[in-house]
Amino acid sequence: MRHEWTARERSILLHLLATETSTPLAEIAQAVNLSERTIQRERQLLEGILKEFELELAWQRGHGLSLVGKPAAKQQLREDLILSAEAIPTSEDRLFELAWRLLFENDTLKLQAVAKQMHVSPSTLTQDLEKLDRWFEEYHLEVERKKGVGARVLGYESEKRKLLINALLAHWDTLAFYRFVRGEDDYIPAFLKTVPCEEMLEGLRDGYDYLKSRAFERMDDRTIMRVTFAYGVQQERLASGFFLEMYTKGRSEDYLKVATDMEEALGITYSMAERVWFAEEANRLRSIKDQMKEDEEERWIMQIRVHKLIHHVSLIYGFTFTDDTALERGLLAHILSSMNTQALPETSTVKPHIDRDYPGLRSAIQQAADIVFGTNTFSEEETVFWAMHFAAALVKPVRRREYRALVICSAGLGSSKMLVNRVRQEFPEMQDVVNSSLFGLEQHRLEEYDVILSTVPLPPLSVPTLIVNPLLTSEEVQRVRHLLLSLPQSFQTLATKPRSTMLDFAELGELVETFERMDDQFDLVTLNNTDRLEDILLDIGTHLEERDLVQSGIQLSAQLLRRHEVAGLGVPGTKLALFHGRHASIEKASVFAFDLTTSIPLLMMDQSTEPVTRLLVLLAPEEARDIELQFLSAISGSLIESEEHMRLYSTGTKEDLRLLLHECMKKMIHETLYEK
Amino acid sequence: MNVYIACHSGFVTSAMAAKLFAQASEGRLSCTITHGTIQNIPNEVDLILYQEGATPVTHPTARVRSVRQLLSLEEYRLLVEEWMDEHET
Repeated sequence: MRHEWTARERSILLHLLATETSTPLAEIAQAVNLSERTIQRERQLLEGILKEFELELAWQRGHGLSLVGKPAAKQQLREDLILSAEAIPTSEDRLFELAWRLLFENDTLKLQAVAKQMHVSPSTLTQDLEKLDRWFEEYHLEVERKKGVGARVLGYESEKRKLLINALLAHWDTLAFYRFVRGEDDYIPAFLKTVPCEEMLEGLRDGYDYLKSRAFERMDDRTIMRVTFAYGVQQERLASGFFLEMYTKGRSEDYLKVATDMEEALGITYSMAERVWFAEEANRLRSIKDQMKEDEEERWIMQIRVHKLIHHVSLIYGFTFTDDTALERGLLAHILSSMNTQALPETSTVKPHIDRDYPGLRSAIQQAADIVFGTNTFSEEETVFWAMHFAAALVKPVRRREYRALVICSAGLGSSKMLVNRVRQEFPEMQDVVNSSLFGLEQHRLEEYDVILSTVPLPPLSVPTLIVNPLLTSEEVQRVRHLLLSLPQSFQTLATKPRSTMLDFAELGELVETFERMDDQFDLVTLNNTDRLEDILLDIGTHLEERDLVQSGIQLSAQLLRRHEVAGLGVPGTKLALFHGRHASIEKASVFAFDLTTSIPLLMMDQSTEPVTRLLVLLAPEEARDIELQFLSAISGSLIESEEHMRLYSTGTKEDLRLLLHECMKKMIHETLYEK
Repeated sequence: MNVYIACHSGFVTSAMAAKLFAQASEGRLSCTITHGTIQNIPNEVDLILYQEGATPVTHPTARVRSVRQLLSLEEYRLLVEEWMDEHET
């Protein structure tokens, strides 16, 4: 039984085959990149076709769609979907088709009519247009919409052509292009099959026949393709009445030779602007600067191809990888870097593991790679690496939506703990799983949870509730999943963490005690100094030793000196230096300020040298507590918070400095009170 | 994203650097900036910054970058732009 599936039918059905329970329309729409309305329409069409497969497309309002039938029937459908023609258009193709139609429209493109031609709803088309905006922007093009009229593209002709050439490069792999120019009409990208482009296709064959016989320097396959595409696009543009703006650049006859030779050989006549444009396209790879630009474009093209690869792997393997941006980025980076690497690391050890744990994944990737990049473009070793990327995406917990669950049992001890563990195990997407006893229920703000799972019957509650066994059987797992999927969106957008309303006395007590001690110890001392930093630091060390803050003043001064030598400690634009250290000989975390009677030149943090009259000393023992380190950090941060702070830290009185320290303390207490 | 700025003592230069980075990224990138020593880098971090010339930092998942000046607002501004360019495409 073979059916001519459309890409849309295929992606909807493969998505449904991958999920056992009902899937909300919104989720399918997002996964297959269509509007909900289009899916609804497709549903009615699909119902009839699926009868042939002895399958039913069940629709339940509020729950969504599911495929109902025997596993063998589902398998049969899956095979049929995969075996159906590879060249059927994808949503990506639809985007390019729309781009093509827009760029070849002389007037304003009527969106209603195009939606009909492309068999999509106007809202799907509107969504596509939004995606095009970002893409067009890269070429400085703008899609102008007129309500009730349509859309048109504003921008330079040369940029439009560049976009078209790159779109062709992204969608036409070398082998398919080779087959096409050898006369096999089937090998054109899907999106070109539905748009008028005869002039271009003819131009491509003529252009290729001529170019392949020319021995241009450094003409590799991609370059020949690029120049051929330039010629083809140019022919189609000219035939459709799109001419270039004037070219101001003068070019030598030698530079233009490639174009004039072409004109002669193919019996065409260019305007000067068109001649210069074509010559530029043909010569563009000659300069290093252009090559670099070329690399950027290659990256963009590769991005689209990686996108397509993921799309095809999803279809063949039967798992939606398409909304995993990390996978796309990872693969892109890998492929781009491996293109410049000669030797790949050994993969023989990983290969058996991947084949054992993910049967079918490598073959799906290989098939998809053949479709997207052409047969044998990448070695088997290379696809093993790709398989690792895909496998990583498979084991990653599904985090598309995050839920919070409250687990309840009568005592809140043994069985709910067990249930919590089972829930965590089965639902990695659960952001928070909190357990409680039945009597503790009142202490929870129920609106902060999406679902309540309980081992005991509960009074009626405002949150969806399920009664389950503490062991959470597989049947119950299905029920919970079902419930999660049917939750309205609004449940999932509440503020995140449940907030404890209790005061943490221990933490507050520790804060207050630490601050009180440091405030007591703080002092501003005036040193009758020489101009030698070593002497000043020794004075400081002795002073702090006397106050029992350090074990050895000499050791401390040596350490501060070394720190100063590593990098400047002066704060540029102030007369202040920030000496600091964390060392085993330091007994207690402390803050001190020392004023110098005579200023000394010191190295600043920006490596300049400026006079300094005050040293702020921040010290922490090796085993400093978090609170102490946080406080010292807060002081450092507060120093550069404003000009006023800088002024006060460098010239303020002892009271000014204490006020600044108190400000930092208050901030930390505030954070402990309200933000935890 | 999570940014971690590392310095020798973990409470002066990196604390000031964190303030500057917050200033440079304000309204451009939404990020949580923490700081501390090279030894205490947390696991959940996307970008680590440290002073060029200091002991090189390694991390299994994060992007690690040395900066010429740990206290340069200008350098952080450029870095934020760079990060955005790279991750917006």
